[in-house]
Amino acid sequence: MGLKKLRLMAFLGLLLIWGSSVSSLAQGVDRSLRVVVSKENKLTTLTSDDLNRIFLGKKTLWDSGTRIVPAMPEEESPAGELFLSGTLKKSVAQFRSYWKRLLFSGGGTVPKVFRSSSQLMDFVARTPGGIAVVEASGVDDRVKVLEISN
Amino acid sequence: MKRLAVFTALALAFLPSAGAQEMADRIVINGYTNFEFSKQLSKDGDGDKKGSFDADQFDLVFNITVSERVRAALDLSWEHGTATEDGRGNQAVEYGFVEYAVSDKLKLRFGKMFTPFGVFNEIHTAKPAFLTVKEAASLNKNDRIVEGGFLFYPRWGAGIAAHGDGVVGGKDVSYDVLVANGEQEEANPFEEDENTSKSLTARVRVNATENLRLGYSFYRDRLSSPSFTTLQSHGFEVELDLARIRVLAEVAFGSLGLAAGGSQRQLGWYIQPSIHLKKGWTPYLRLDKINPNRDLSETGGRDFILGVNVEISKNFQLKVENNAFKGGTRSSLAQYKGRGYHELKAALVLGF
Repeated sequence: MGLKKLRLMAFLGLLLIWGSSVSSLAQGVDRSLRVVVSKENKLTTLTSDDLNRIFLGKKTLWDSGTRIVPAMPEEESPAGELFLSGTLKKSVAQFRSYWKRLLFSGGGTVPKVFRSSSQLMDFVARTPGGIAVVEASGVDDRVKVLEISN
Repeated sequence: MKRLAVFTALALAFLPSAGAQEMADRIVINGYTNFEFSKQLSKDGDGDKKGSFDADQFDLVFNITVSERVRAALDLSWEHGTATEDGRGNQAVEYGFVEYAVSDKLKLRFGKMFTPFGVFNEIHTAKPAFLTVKEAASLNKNDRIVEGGFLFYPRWGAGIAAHGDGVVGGKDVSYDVLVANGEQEEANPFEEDENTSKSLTARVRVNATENLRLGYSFYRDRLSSPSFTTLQSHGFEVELDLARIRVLAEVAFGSLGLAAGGSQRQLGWYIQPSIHLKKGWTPYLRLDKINPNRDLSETGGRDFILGVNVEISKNFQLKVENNAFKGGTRSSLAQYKGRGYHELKAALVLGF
């Protein structure tokens, strides 16, 4: 391998490392959003890493063995974009691209998407393994709000 | 899509409402379709000289949650306007398997699956899942570039697999292992093995940082062919995914054991940078190279792709690209002027 090729590869490598180290938005969930689960769920806190893994299909079972069923507002709604960019650190396009790969290769199902907070509340209230990200103003007493830790 | 919606609505209408809701929660139906056009732009070459429309693909993807730990997944595919009466097109089970989740770190799968090697194989039919019109030929269908090579792995396998996601040293890690019959000379590989040796595929992926994913894949099988003895491949993948810029690259090394002695050593690689602009426009490049025999010179070739992917509306994409194929002086493209040709490819793709 020639010196020029080695230099080019080293440059590309450095570019990759630089690019990947560019930090994104802060950890956690924006204050205007809440993470809610069914009242049957015994959990009271969840780490932001686990929340990420749930919405990226990497964590699919609660400790109790119940299947996790995630739900969220529409990706392009203000609440949806806030959740994707602030918590999952993905743009709408990145999120869709990620899930298309996973879904169509048989890896799992995309988080359910609802148009309104009341639909999200209905869903979580009737789904024992349900978890949803919802606007704080839309939370009612049929569900339990989780504390998210870093 | 409309018929499917009507069918589902009717099915649900005849169930008690609670039962209908439970069924809707347990059975999720998705799918995708792909309509293509290709036209060779050069006078001579291996492309589509007349220009053709292709009703390439219509797939339905089912995910059925049977219980808390058991899930079934199925992809039914109709290709090229399937008409069995005329012997046209193809219909197939792309994958059909049952998954038992012991935990998130260990999910066991049984059935027919895509071979979990590299980035493209498991999504090679799912055109909405990638930017370009076709998957990277260097690793998945290298005869589209030049002849004389072999597949690094069979695209499907019937057998037992394990998949898991976890955290190691603070990094997200996932793995896949598939033990399958492997490719067969005569028998249906999804029904019968022609020898006692099972094929082994393994893949591990690590999220090195939030934006950088690395992966390694391995495939090995002993073959029952009178001409070939073994197939072994190693693959490495890198994906850098920034907010707008994305770079995807893979390299694979393959070795096909020859019954006459020795082996054919093959190398394939590609690099695909893209930039996501506003209003869903994503221009991309891909340099796809295959060297079907590393012990011979000038037998390889490349496909240099320059294109754009436009998301017209949610999950509905238009893709247009030029493919510049070129081969070495001893490749199957050597007969053409400049040892290559250009081909226009376009597609309308919908995921749902």
